Amino acid sequence: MLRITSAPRKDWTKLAESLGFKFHTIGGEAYWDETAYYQFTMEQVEQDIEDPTAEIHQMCLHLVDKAVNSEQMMARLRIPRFFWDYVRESWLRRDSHLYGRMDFSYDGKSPAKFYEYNADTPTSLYESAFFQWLWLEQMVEEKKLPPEIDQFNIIQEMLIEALVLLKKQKMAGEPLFFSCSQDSEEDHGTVEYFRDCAVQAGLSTQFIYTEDIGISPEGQFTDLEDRTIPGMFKLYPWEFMFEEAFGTYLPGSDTLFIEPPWKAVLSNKAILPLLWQEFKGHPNLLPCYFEDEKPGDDLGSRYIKKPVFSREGANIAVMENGKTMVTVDGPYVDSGYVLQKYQPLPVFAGNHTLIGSWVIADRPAGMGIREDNSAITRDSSRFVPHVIRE
Amino acid sequence: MKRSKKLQLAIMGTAPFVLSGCTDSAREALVYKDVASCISDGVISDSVCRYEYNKAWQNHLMVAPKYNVASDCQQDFGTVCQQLASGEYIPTMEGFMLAAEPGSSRSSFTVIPLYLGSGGFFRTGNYDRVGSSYKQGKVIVDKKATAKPSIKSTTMKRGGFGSRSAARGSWGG
Repeated sequence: MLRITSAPRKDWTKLAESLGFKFHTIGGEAYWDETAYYQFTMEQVEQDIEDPTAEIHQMCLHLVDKAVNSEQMMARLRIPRFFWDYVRESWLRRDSHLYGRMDFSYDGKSPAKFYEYNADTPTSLYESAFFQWLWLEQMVEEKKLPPEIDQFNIIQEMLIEALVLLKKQKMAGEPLFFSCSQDSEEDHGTVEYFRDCAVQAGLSTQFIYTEDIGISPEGQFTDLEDRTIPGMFKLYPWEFMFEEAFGTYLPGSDTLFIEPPWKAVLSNKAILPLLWQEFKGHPNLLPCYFEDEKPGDDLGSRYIKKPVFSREGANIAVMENGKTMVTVDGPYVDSGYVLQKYQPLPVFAGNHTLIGSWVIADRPAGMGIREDNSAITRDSSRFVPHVIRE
Repeated sequence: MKRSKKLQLAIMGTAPFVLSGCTDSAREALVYKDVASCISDGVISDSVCRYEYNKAWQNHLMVAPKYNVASDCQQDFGTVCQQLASGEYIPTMEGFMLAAEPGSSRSSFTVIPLYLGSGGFFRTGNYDRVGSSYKQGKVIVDKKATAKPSIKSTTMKRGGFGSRSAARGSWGG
């Protein structure tokens, strides 16, 4: 695993904008960064990232099956009691799920360590699946990289395949709605990309902002034309939906949601101590405990304190001997905490490097890499492409 | 190769294209002409039969195909067509179909009102054939015939979701 500096393609910003990638620069800071790329061997990708991803995904499904049948675990996961049956039935029906991203710390030598599973509303999909792929194709075309070079990336192909199946099994000609909040260009870009894939899969699609969703007197969710919503891809976390005014209508509604309600079990940091309980000692897992239980000695004196519900690194603290060393402020203070053994990110040329490993339906499908100047990866980090080269 | 050979964008990019030609697979469903035949079939309980029949009836006015001319309606459905207040004609509901998924509870039945097409076959509002009206109970239908329909409804309230900020996924820590 190497970090190699590289000349950006001429006019890549123009290309990005013509392809709907409007958030390549966020708040004046570069987000998409092709001044470097990461190079892996095939063995590193297959044995150290792809295989552990497949295995951890199966371990997670095993835990979902256990959790939905255990009131104690559902309470631990902070899923409100009102939604226990809703989540459980979604799992028993095996409601289709499309995607998730596992975050790993990996240095090219030691086993990749699993940080968490963004299984409900993962972003950085477009740049991982499409723009990164296009970068490599063009670099090869411009003869800046040799033709035998490769990349772990079948994300879009698998996604379209999963959407074709969704159309066949559930949606037929009925519209699948795509939704996100009004205030994020990045979220909107991700949703539009998803909708693009759905169109390629032959689905009939529509867009609606989360805030515009309505409710009918019969308790069905409606669009802006007062038509019921048969299916909806929502880039909005289950834990928010459970808490909000319309949450109470979820169990009675006929809307098929993507990601499905059972993903609420996995996108939740409380799954991390539960995984450690079930698979203690697994080489890709980090020791992890609930804050309110007695931790094992394997937690060590340096650990990370993470809120059960948290995004973009918010409210995460690095602790040493009970003292806070580094902390990131944020709004997630009311959900309880988990403690995870401190596993620093590897540093390449002064950058802290995090690997995102994509799961589409149930298969590992590709990688995306983010770099940050600080030890905690936040929304200010940069996306850097990768290649496989022997 | 660990990467896709060819990718394109349909709506974000500059070269739109759409794939087509996917086949629909089969699915099991229950078809009844009325509550009595549902109950006598014995697969689902009396109360569920009544509940689902009422649901079908409620959906009927919204999903039934609408015609401007009575004879067009009769040509497609061969039954007595009724006229709505709007002046349009719709076929009479002659049965209902229940499609459940494995492991789901009764609340997640998809219920579809049925009409009679030519030859005594049940048809959905989309004119998908779903079995003979002379036979009650289990039938195998195209999955697409059982998709949950988007129904014209009314909205009593909006804004019940989205009070929190954007949902950008976390990148670990």
